[in-house]
Amino acid sequence: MYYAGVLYFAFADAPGWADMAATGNASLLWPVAWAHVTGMTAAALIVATLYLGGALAAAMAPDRRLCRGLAALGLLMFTALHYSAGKIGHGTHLWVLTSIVFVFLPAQGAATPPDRRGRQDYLNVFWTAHALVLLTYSMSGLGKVFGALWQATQGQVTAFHPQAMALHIADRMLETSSQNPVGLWLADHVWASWPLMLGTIYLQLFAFWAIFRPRLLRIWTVGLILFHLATYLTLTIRFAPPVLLLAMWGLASPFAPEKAGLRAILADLPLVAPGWRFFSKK
Amino acid sequence: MRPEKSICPPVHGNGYRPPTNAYRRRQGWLAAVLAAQLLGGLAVLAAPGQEVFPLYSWFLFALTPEPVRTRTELRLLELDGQAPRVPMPLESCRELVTPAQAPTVVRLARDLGRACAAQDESEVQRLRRTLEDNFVRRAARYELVELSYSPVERLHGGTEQVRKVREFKTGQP
Repeated sequence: MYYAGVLYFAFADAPGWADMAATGNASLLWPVAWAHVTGMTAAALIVATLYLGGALAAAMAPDRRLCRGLAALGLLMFTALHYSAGKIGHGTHLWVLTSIVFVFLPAQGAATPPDRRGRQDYLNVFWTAHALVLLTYSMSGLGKVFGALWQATQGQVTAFHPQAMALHIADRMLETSSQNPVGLWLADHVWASWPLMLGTIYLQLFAFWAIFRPRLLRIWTVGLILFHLATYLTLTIRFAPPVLLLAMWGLASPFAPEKAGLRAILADLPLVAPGWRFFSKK
Repeated sequence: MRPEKSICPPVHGNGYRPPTNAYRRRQGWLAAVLAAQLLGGLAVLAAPGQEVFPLYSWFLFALTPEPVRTRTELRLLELDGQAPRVPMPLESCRELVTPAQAPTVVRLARDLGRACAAQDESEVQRLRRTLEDNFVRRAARYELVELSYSPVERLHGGTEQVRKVREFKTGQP
């Protein structure tokens, strides 16, 4: 399923291959630094072949480490070449990182179905890839908290200020000369944008927590998908590839329980849980 | 049916089977991957551009814009010998930049502004080469300006203060 996703992206990115050949070579990222020698047209051809070939091979034989390695290498190089025009975007970073982790999935060998050891190894690597994805959201939340603390010491407006989201939206719209009615409305209605900003920080900061609390996995996944939808509607930032990862792994997680009661979920919520336990005992 | 080969030692009296050293070692490697992502992401904050692909801090929108904001912008003054009626922000010129490419041009304007402020001429020339190789591939004259404004007021038609930083011509130092 995962490698079907990589294959889909390889096909979806096909219209951009010609543009890659026309990219200047002044800001090449390190995985494609060799393009200085081959020239951009040859580099684009090599990278596109590796990307599509690797993705196809891994989709056909995901149990082969060599195929998974080729897919990871192709994805890494394609992303590097794509972002060698002066700014690194981050839409496909999570796919690049998780494809590298998946190279270390255990070899299936002749044992079909895999034995207990093989199953444990497989789940451990899968869990790590999922944890890596959630960790990046927590790092983003941590950045906002650190940023707010630093700005508070400077006497500046922080991420916790009621106007913070309005300022982000207005700044982004002006910077990119974009028009967006939802963003414009939220910039003018602080009472609506402030809770969204605080909720976003909470959701991001504790995303990594959810991997250790399986009852929260599906809720956090839905929250993060809605967050991506909101950033598109307000800031015109479309982070589609991570949404597919979140949906595949978070909603259909083998670690999440089939059902989880509201009380159990509240008892797992970060910051809320201690208060909930205290009052539920009384 | 062949019994499964267990990686765990025999079951203890209470039913608990402690993990083997090999299992602990594998888990240690996987924990190291997560630690590398976290620590590597924080370490690259010190690198130029604050990232080393594919490691990134993920500090997106970490700083809230000030109510009065200062930023740099690239403005097109002339394209193929023809001047627009008013200087046009380069990221808005659809003949040169697609909407998807606009954030990259905005980022290049920011980096160029920083390089000009630091009087780092080699970095200025590198950034100009990146800009001109990828976006401004025709004969053009453009300028780098510094803008000061209130984002929320500006969104509703408020004014901005403009200060010219430097002017460039494609293909010329």
